[in-house]
Order: sequence, then C-alpha cells, then structure tokens
Amino acid sequence: MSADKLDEMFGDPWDDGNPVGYAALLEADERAELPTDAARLLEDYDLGAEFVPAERGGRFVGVDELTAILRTIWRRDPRLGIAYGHAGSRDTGTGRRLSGLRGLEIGDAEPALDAVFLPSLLVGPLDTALRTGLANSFDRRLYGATVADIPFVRATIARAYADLLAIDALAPEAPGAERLAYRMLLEAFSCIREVLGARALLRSGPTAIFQKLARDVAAVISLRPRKHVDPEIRELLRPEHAAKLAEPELLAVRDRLTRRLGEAPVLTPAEREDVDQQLFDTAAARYHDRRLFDSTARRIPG
Amino acid sequence: MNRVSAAPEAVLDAALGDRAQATAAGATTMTTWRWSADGDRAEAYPSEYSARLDAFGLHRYYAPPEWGGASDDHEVMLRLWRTVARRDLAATVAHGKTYLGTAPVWIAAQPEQAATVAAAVLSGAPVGCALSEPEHGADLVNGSVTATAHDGGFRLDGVKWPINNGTRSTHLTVLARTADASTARSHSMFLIERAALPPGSWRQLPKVHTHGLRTLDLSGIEFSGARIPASALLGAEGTGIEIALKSLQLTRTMCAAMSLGAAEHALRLVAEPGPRLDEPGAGHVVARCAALLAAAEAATLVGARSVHGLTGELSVTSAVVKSVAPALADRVIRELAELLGPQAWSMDGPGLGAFQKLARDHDVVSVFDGSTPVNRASLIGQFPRLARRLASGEHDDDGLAEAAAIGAPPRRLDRALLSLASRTGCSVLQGLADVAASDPVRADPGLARQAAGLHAAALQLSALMSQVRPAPRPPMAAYELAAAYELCFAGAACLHLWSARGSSRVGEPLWQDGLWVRAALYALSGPLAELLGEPRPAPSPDERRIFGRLSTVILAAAADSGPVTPFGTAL
Amino acid sequence: MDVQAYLIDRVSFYLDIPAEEVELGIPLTEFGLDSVYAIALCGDIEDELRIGIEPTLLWDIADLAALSAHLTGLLAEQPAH
Repeated sequence: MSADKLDEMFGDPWDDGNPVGYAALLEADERAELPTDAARLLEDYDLGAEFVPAERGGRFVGVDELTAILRTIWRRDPRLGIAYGHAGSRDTGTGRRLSGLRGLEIGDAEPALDAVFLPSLLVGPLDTALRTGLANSFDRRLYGATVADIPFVRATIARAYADLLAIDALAPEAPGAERLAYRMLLEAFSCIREVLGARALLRSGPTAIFQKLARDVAAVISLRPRKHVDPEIRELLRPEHAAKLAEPELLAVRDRLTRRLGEAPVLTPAEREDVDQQLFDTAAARYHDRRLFDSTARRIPG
Repeated sequence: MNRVSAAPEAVLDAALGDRAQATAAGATTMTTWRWSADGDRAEAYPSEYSARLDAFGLHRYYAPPEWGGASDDHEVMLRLWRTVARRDLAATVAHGKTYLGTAPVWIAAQPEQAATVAAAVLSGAPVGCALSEPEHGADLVNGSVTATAHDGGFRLDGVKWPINNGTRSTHLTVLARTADASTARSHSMFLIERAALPPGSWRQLPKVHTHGLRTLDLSGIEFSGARIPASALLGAEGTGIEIALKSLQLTRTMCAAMSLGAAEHALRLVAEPGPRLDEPGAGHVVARCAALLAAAEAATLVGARSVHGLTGELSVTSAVVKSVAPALADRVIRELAELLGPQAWSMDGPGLGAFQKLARDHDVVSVFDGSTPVNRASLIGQFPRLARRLASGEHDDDGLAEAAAIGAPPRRLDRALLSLASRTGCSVLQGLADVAASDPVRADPGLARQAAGLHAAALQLSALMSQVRPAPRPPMAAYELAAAYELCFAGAACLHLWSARGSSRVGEPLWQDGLWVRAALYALSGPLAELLGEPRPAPSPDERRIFGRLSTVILAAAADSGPVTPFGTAL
Repeated sequence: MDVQAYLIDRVSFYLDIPAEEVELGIPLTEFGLDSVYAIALCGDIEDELRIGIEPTLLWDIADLAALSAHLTGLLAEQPAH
C-alpha cells in the first residue's frame, strides 16, 4: 500500500460527485459529523497496518513513507487524520467541541498527534490551501488580467510556498522547531486568505475547502503544548532535505526563516523579487501538472 | 476626558448588559451575550440585538444633523460602534451597515432624495449599498450591472452580490454602468426604493453562508430590466465611481471600530484571572497585545477625528486606517489564540465560546469594504506626494490639532472637502518631526529616544517610497512600504495623542509615566524594522521593564472590568 | 514653465517608456494611463505647478494636449508668485 494507492482510492477531490471529495467532506463538516464514506474507505485500506512494522505483520517501512500516506489523508480532511491517526479508530469520548475539527470531541490528550511530527502532517492541508489559492488566481479576472498576473498575488503565493518547503524541511528534534512551524503554518494560511479575498470566507463554491481547512489547522495547532524555545537557525533544517532543494527554493526558505527569527535578511530586495518570481513559477508549474508542492512532487488526482 | 462625549458610550454599554449575567449560574433571562453565542450557532439575523440598539437610538447617528440625525461627531459614533463590537461584531456590522449604505446619499443627493432617506433611517429602516459584483469585487470600474436610459428613466440589468442587508433593506444605493467605456466616468450612483421596483423585474438571491459574521443578512439581487425613475439618479450621470470612492473614505475609516472591539474582547477573555496567566511569558504576550491594541486605538481615533479636521486627507487616512487596524487586531488575536490554546477554538470556551466567534468574525473584517491589499494599492498610488511631504514635514497644523483633541466636539463635517487625492498628504505622519520635538515628548528622555527612532524610520521610508513608480499592478515591495507607512502612522498618532493630553489623565495607570505610548512604540518597532528589511532590535532592559509594568496594569484592569486601552471604558 | 514638457516627463516615468513614445493626442486611458495614475499625476501636477486640481480632471480631459492647454490656462490666471 502506498500514498499513490490511497490517493487513487480517494479519487479526485475537486469532483463534486465524489462521495469522499471536498464537497462531501464539507457537507459533513457543515453538519458537524464525520464523513462516513471516507471513514469506511480508511477502514477498508486498513490504515492501522501502516503504523505496525513489517516484521510484525504491518506495513511500516519508514517515517517518510508513513508521512506521505498520512499527508494524503490530512490533505483532504484533518479530522480523519485525527480520528484514524493511530492503530485502530479512536473513541469519541466526551470532550470539547471546537470551531474546527467539527464532529470530533477533543479530549485533553490526543495520542494521534504524537505519532509523527505534526507540522509534517499539516503540510497536507497547507498543500490544499495553496492549490485552492492558485486555482482561484488562474480562474479569476480582475482589473483586466487574471489574478495570477498581479505581482502582489504572485509574491504572496511564492512566500506561502516557501513556507511549505521550510516546514517540510524542518528537523523535528531542533529546539523550537515545532512552535515555529505552527506560527509559519498559520501565517501561510493568512497569506493565502489575502490572495483569495472574499472567496476565503465562503462556505460554498470552489474555494470553500479553504475555510474548513483553516479552522481545522488552527484547532489542531491549539492542542499542542505552548512551550516555546528560541530556535537556532543553523539547526532548523534537515541537511539531507535542504540539499535536495533547488537554489532559489533554498534561498527562499532561508530568507523566510531568518526574517521570522528577526535576523538580517539573506536576500537583497532585488534578489527577493527574483526569488519570488521563480518560486511562483515553480508552484504554478506544480499546480498545472497536478503535483504536490512538497519535496516528493508526487502526482495526485484532480 | 470630556464627560459629555463619553456619556453616550456608557449609556449604550449599560443598555447591553453585564457580562456576568451571561454565565451566572441560574441566569434565566436572555442576555445580549447569549444572543451572540446562540445566534452565531443558528446563523440567525440579530434582530433582538438590533432592536436593543434601535431602542438606544444608534440608528439616529447614521443621518447628518442637518437631516435630523443625532450628531455629526464621528469620534462618538466610532466609540458607540466599538462598545457594541467588543460584544458582537456581527451585530455591529449588521446595524452599522445603514451608515455605509447611506454614505453616498449625504455626499451627492438632491434635497428631496436626502429627505426620503433620512426619514427611512430615522425610523429604523435598514439601508444597503450595492457596489460589489460576483466577478468584480473591489474592481468597480469593470462593474457590469447596467443602467440603460429608458423611457425617461433607467432600466437596471445584472447581479449585485454580496450585499449586506440585501434582503431587509428598504433602500439601496446601487452603482451601475451608464456608458460602455472602461473608464472612471462610465458609472452612476442610484438610490433604489425596493418597494417601488416593478414586481418580476428583480430577484432576491439566497443568503451567503460565510466563515464569520454568519448572522448577517448577506445576499444579493439580480435585476432583469428593473425600471427606475430618473429621480433615482444620485448626483450627475458619470459620477458614480467618484461618489463611491468618497463614500468609502468615510466607511473604511469607521470600520476600524470593529477591529478595536474584536481585539479588546480577545484581550479581556485572555486576561481573566486563571492558571493560564502563570505560564512563562504569558504576561509578556498580554502586554505586547495591549500595546498593539493601544496603537490601533490611537490610529483609529485620530482617523475618526480626521473625518472632521483633515477631511481632504481621507484618501490617505481611510486607506491607512482600514489596513492598519485590522492588521494589528489580527496580530493580537493570533498571539492571544496561541496563549489560550484549545480554549481559543472551543465552542464552550470562556464567554460562551466568544473567542472562536470573534476570531472568525474578524477574519471577515480584514477583507470586506476594501481588503488590505486594495487599500495598500490605493496608498501606493499616492506615494509620490506622500514621500515628498514626509521628507519635508509640511502639514496642516490646525487640522492635526483637532484630530488629536480626543473628546472635544469637532468642526462640522463638510463633505464638499472630500478629495480623491489628498492635497496635503498625511498631516498625522508629516507632523512627526514636530511632535517628536515637542515639550511633552522631550520631557521623557526614553520617549524622546523612541520618537526620534520612529522619525528616522519614517525618513528612511520616505526615501524608499520615492523610488516606487505608481502602477496599476505595483510590486510586492511597494505593499511592504505601504504596510510600513501604516505602522509609522500608528506610531505618530500615539505621539500626537500623548502630546495633546494636557493635564487630563493624571493618575490613570495606563498613562502613568507614558506607559501606554512607550509600550506601543516598542511594540510597533519590531514589525516596522522587519518591513524595512532590518534585523529586529533585541528587547532592551527598558523595554522589558515597560512591558512588565503594562502587564501588571492590564491584568489588574481586566480583573476589574476596567478600561484596557488608553481611551477605553469599563465593560 | 513648459507644462507640456513636464507632463511628457511624468508620463514617461510612470509608464516607463521613452519620452518620444508619449502620445499627446489620444485619450489617456488608451495608452495606459488609467484612473490609478490619475491620482499620482494629479498630485505631481499640483505640487510642481502649485495649483489645485482634482484627479477627476484627468478622467474628463480628452488627451494630454488638452490637459497641457488647460493647465497652462490655469497658471496664466494666477497672480505672479
């Protein structure tokens, strides 16, 4: 089983007729219910086996593979990620109802969130949010051109994309990495909200998945401990991961991190403009090619 | 503070009821706090809330005094809106929409038209404003709803959406195209009376379901050959865009009340006594948020008073205030959410789940009525003059003095002074050199140092602004300069208000030794440095001391339900 | 003050085109000077020529030649500085 297989089972999320697509997930969200068709799909897939090592009869072969599989779920609906995040499905015990993760009652401890580095899973919904932003930008015309032609939009998308790459490349064990990642995630969602404009706020229509994911991500993040340690830039990125980034992407990632940490920028204004342009082009190419924005660049349905 | 102008706020606040009532054990009466929580969940229009606001007479502020309205004073109206907004943003927006909807009328109407609208407003009827279209957002010049000359009157065709008060409004101001070309003279403003529209010529579009402000009557109208009389034309044919832009100068400035209310509400929820505040760093977060809120309050109050004293500068003021207030409030809400943890998003959290509602509601505020990018683009279009005047420091002394005289009755608003391109630039920011050198600022060496630092940043900014070539699609760097301009405006507003305080405020903890203004300037300096491409200065011992003191003051104030901003009131 | 030369200089800066390419006889919007530029150009004209105009003048004027003539007329009406 693999992420490709799971994606294939889920099918095209943008297809309104897909019983496990975004429209169906949104409809369940509106009713504050978990999507039963999607839940059944995950049971059929036997997600639990992904957490059990091969030598004990399971399918776990490595963290990267597990992350890719889990991201497939988190890209579509973080509620499923939480509900099916560890061996077996979880009890819906008594707990709080949140404005995100609707349909779940959240207890004080959520073991699902300890299994894998959570920021890594949240790259999933960020990918969908970014994709929604790009789709909207190419579809809409304003002021005589497509929204994607507006420099402000291009730069904003480029920076949200750089944030996604940065979070994807973070070393989980680096002090302060987790909380930094959450702040970057929330800011990336804010950036995409700016690009979507009023469409970020609609609960129906082609962009509706955005507001749901924004609420879900905020809710998930709020469950994590608040402890914060100031990160050291040098320790933040996984070296083997950073080495795989193309030069403009690595520059963009380092620029985003240094700015966030209040240090002197690594790019001059002119260099930044160039890097923004290049990152937008890469993101746009991934979008048009139906590939993930993360380092796997895997092809996905849709 | 002037007692007379504080009174309406206090009366309204009392009419809206006590916070303790909402959660008191055994409380059986419906309180406004319950209405907010229940209404949001059910997505039901806040009719009871609206009725309570009407009973107070809030709607009487939406018509100018010359047409029978209660008052002209935009500072008072801002305060009244804030009083409501710190309890329920949606109820404020729903009620306040009539001010926005009628703004074109007081700018351009003939006496008969104004009298008709005034009668409606004063009787409590909601009025809406139909500018947006599904495919055009804030791109008014490319609007496609047409008003075709027909039989002595006009025929309306097309869809206006979304419209606030789209179903309930008795009257609508509608922007429609009266000529083909894609120019700023191709549209006209109309005043529509819904009851007079021929049946079958128009169709209500369904309620729009939104992420926040869920209870609004947000919908749309489709016109199909709807006949309207010639007398529906507001102002001369072809002046629609001009009227719309001038109306937006007023409404955008006033919308900042929503941001002040939301951020204050968030701060009070977080600052309630409890174990959360014992966590390391919690006090510092509370202090930093209180400081940012104080800066937003300063910018907004000066903005509201600029409606009167610096009317010709509203093309700048409105763009700045409509961006900076939501931006600062967004930052405050985000930082406080982190502190609250899971309670932030709980439907059953403190205050009947108030935090998650105010956060969702405020998300909408940054976008509606001119999103932040739209306002920044408008500011960038004015950069050449703003850069020149920021460097030279010339400004309107009298207008600025009035803008800083919080609580004093302002001069009558003369709408004929509204201009699409502020001739005098922005006196608030251009007056920074003078206020930094003023006695009240120089009296405190620490404050003087901060003021000098802000002035240096403003000059640096002016040099960068002068290199920007105005364009319909400005580069991202220009948006960052606009954001920096906004923060400098907020800092300057803080200094003007501090300098103008006179002998009032002695003994008030937030004002002791300039606590709020020193903290506000420190809080603004980090984000400002980042926008100017500089490293963030490390917090000095002085800064830490100031934030420590502010944290103590704010937590004590919140525990007592006292004011948590320099110009705030008890809740 | 050569008003026409000044206008050509400003327009060439805004549109980032050589002065020779600035058209004097066609409507402003037709060669790219839309309403956004009207605000900035209005400000420049006011500050440089020390007269008061509204951006709507630029919306209503036929072309740069007419604008130049109009501004020259306004300057002539003013008392000498």
